[in-house]
Amino acid sequence: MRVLIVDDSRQSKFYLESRIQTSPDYQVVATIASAANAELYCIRKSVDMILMDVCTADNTSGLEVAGKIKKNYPDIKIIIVTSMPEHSFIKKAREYNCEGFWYKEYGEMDILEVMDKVKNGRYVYPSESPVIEIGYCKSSEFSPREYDVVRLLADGKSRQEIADELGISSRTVRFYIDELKSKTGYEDTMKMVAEFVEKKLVINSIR
Amino acid sequence: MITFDKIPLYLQNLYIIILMIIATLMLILVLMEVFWYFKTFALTVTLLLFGIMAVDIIGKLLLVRRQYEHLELNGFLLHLECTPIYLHLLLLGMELIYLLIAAFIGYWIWKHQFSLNSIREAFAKLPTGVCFASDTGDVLLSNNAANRFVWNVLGCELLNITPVWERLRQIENEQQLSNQQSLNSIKIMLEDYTVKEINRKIIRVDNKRFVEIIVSDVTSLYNLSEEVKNNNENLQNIRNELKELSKNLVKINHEEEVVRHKIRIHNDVGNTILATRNVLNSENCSRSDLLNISAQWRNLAEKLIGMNGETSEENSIQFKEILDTAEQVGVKVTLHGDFKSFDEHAFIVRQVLRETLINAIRHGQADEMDIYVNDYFDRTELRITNNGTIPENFNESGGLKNLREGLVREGGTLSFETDKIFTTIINFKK
Repeated sequence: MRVLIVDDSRQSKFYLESRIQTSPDYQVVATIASAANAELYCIRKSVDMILMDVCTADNTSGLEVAGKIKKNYPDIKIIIVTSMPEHSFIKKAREYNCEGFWYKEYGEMDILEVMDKVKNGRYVYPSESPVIEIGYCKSSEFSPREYDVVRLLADGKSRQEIADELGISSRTVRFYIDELKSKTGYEDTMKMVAEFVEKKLVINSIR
Repeated sequence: MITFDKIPLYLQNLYIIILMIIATLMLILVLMEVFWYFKTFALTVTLLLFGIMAVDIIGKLLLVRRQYEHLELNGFLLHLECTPIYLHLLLLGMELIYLLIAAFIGYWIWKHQFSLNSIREAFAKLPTGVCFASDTGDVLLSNNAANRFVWNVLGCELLNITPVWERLRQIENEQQLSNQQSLNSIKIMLEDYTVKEINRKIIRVDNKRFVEIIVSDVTSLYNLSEEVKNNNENLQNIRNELKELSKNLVKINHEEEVVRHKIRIHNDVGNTILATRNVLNSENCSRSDLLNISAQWRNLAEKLIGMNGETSEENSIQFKEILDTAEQVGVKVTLHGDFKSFDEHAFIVRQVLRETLINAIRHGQADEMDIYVNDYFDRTELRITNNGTIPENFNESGGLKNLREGLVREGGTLSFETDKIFTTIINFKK
């Protein structure tokens, strides 16, 4: 199977290449830094599988490109790889019909194991996102909507702007913020949001 | 039975006098209610009572007069003469009660009505400054607070509102307490740091226009709004910092990944050194052990080579990757010039380059591409040609359309030539 590695971290690329080379079933066609260039390989049908990082060079979202490739070239298998525990990545990967998702730092399985299962037609996703502690509680205790609110707060949006974007009332936004503060034990909203951002539970530069 | 005419004449007269006194008092009450505070219900009741008394008085007067003149009584007067005295006394008692009722009604009205003086006094002592002026600005009515305010701030009497308003506006402009100015509102801070808001309104009374000026103390409100403004500024700063942190997170994450790799390699180096020492110290060191150790060191060396930091000049690297990718997918790319001329717009130029490449392969089956970077005195031009088939009906679809919008936003232009060879042209003015 011809594999394209898309990762802008030299160390990650090297690691993935060295792991893949230990298996006779796979051949690394190329390693590129920007997901934007991945489609070129797909046009000439030069690849069968792509290991796609989420945050790639040139500020390109690997998830968005994965979605585009799956739409135009559904036969090409894509495994999303990332080291960020951002909550929405798994959900987006599923939406775009990617075959696999692998956490570089928290992966339960080895990358080769994931690739083998994907090659055999299975969908391989982690059972849950990595559990990170935020204040007094764990990242698994927040609802998807609470993550949406935190993400928009990290974007610098006001309560009303968040309400408009999510299609809810300003009072409901306030309720979510109060709930988050109650769960995490933070009294200051911005400190709480900074913690989320620092621990990479919400990433806004690539979505 | 004693009838009215049987009682001594002096008593009859006394009766009438008392009745007239009561009637007079009732009349006074009626007049008071009519002229001072006209209340329909109270007036109606009082008039009714007065009417009853009036009839009684007239009857009695006629009776007494006839008696004085020793005239014969007949008809109604005869009946009146024959009514027992206690009935007349009862009627008198009732009329007294009526008087008390009317007096009570009058008193009640008097207690609950404002007199002109009380209104004037209350107006003068209002804590808020109020002033009414004519259309021309001449002050018609102003209270103590308004006069005091103008005297303290401007040092003059409040005679005409127009120059006072202009002077207050000047002070507001000098102080600049608020960014937003309103035509009919002025905010100024006094020497004691209290903040006054002066509001102007045109009111109509009996089809005449008057100017109403109200001076209110908004110190606490102003302090609160300043606090809110400061908090909002702080919050905005924090939000901006969060945004920056978010933007840099990708970079921070990369650096953390590098650190983690370094730690891993450090551990690997340590383990390899330990293993080597063990093997070398071992008395039964075999060739296969040495080969294993050697393989470990080779592996380690490769990892260390992979640790070299990325070269600088990110733009060049990204452009190079596009060209390398093109080569990998079978498109021979020849670059004439240097992409450095587009450093300022590198991101959008790369997007156009990629899109052009994709279209050339997908629609034109091109396998050769030439890129010309031309640096003119007034503009920088990028020309991309390819040997693919030229489409018969070339239309800008979603991808190229978005790119054109992006280019225009950055001050560039996008055009195409489809005569002999398909050419994409980007220009940026210098």
